[in-house]
Amino acid sequence: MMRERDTVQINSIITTMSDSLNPSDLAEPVPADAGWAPLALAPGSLWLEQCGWCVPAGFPSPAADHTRQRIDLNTALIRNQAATYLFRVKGDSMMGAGIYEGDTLLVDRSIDPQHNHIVLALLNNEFTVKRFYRRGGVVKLLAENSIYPPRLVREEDDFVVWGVVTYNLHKLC
Amino acid sequence: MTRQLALVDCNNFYVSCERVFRPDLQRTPLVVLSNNDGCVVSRSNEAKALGIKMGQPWFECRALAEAHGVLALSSNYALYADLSNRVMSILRDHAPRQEVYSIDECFVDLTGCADSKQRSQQLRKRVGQWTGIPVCVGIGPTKTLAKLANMVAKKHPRSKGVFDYNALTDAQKEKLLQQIEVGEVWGVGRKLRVRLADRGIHTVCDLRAAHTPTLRAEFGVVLEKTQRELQEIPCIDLQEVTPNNQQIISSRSFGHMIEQVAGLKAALSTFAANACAKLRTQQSCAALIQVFLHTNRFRPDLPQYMPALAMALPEPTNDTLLVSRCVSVLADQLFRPGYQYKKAGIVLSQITPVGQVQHDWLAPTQAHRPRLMQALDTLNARYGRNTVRVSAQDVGATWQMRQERKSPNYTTDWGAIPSV
Repeated sequence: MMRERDTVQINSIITTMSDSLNPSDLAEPVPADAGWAPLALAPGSLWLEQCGWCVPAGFPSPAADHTRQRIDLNTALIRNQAATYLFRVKGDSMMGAGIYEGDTLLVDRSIDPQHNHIVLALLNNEFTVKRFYRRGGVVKLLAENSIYPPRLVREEDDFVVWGVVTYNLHKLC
Repeated sequence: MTRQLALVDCNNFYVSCERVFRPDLQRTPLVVLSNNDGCVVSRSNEAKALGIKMGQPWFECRALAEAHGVLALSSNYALYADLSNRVMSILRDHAPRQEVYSIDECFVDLTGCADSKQRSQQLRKRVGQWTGIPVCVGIGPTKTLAKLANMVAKKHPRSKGVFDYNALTDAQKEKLLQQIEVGEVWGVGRKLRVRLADRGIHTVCDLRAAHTPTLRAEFGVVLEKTQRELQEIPCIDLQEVTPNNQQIISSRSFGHMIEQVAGLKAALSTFAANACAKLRTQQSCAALIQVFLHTNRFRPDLPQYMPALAMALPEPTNDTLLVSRCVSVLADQLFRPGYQYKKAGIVLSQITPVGQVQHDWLAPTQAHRPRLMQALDTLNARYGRNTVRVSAQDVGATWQMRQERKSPNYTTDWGAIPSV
């Protein structure tokens, strides 16, 4: 049943083609008063399927077997889409790590913070980006700029690592 | 094997979303207001404790709220939708079957998992870590019981956010259901609760034990299904694929009241454009267009007028231009001068898929412009909503939403990324 319909559609495409001899017309819906069965042509899809391969008249493209998806930065830079968030940098405390004011950070919440990671932390309910130091029960937040001293995280501090910084997007031009 | 259906429900969802990017608000009492800052639609626990009710008009509780330092925010649906999608995708990756029930609720089927309670704890922890949104999980053999279990998980801190109805003994189940009021059951509303009370049904346990034929005769088959579900007989299946809408409503309260017909038409044609775009995304057409107008019911001092009028089309359509023209005709017929209109909207119904449209062989074929509409949708998707619009829409007019207290679109707008 399905087969039969397909054939009819293909035939009517061919009819249109030989009538008009202008392939660009094919994308147009068939006018209702054309005089023959007004079969609805799904705009384009069947046509592409039948003829998509026949366009080059010379040698087949030597690259045809080697086509690949173009690199997608979303998948290349973001390991976990559901847990990654963007933040914009304010201030100069991380310049030593190549993080400048106005840069955009990718922050992944699903990564467990480890010593030496650059993290987005919440210290007493304020966001801050620093290098995470954790050795021998001591937790510190280190700036990458000598004018800012290390900040020791004390018992009484309200401290939580919001997420781990995975990439920095720095605009160059 | 007993089914292990889990309902995962985000706690105070909109408020929790706002707090993800505003950690300084972690302990501030917070409410989120509906469109046009009309009603309270989400409350933090602190705001609940003050007695602010769900759905309460803001002007009613404003004085109380401000006296206690409650912060009110306009709803930021772009942010909520993004965080909701993140939560749902985490759940989808960790359970075999899922039904997204609403923006903040999701059923997942854990049947066959070795330890569904432990699994739920993990899910809860993971959603919390990856998104910052706290959730509660209720597990039961049916959807109705999973929903009740979720309520128990929310109300009792001892449950640590997960409550498993299946783990109870029969005696414990009986005792639990006796303590819960019948109005808490999924699908039992305020009116039904009163009618059930007249029949001596006060608790969930009463409903579960009620005489089924009498129940069906008096309250219909829907409540019978609910009863069966309470008796652990599944009647409501997981809907993994959302069915297409059978009705599309697009309406808004206006920021300021409108007195002129032109203003109403501007708003209505924007609603028409939104509704038609929605029709086209689900690849269907509508055959019935209804328009309604509302004056402000909270202003009894003003004359009230709330008319509605429908128009049937000879052939279903999803063409913005055509629907917009019909809506304009309807608006002219409804409009009476001398009233201040607070709200208007359109309802599209009798919806059929594009491929199944029944053409009228007597009426001349209507102008169909699928390619024009496609171009319109593509442009608006690429350059932002309402980039290309019907001139009647007159965007930026006075009817636009009032969102005086909205937070930035932290996750969906490059210019609004939070600074740290």
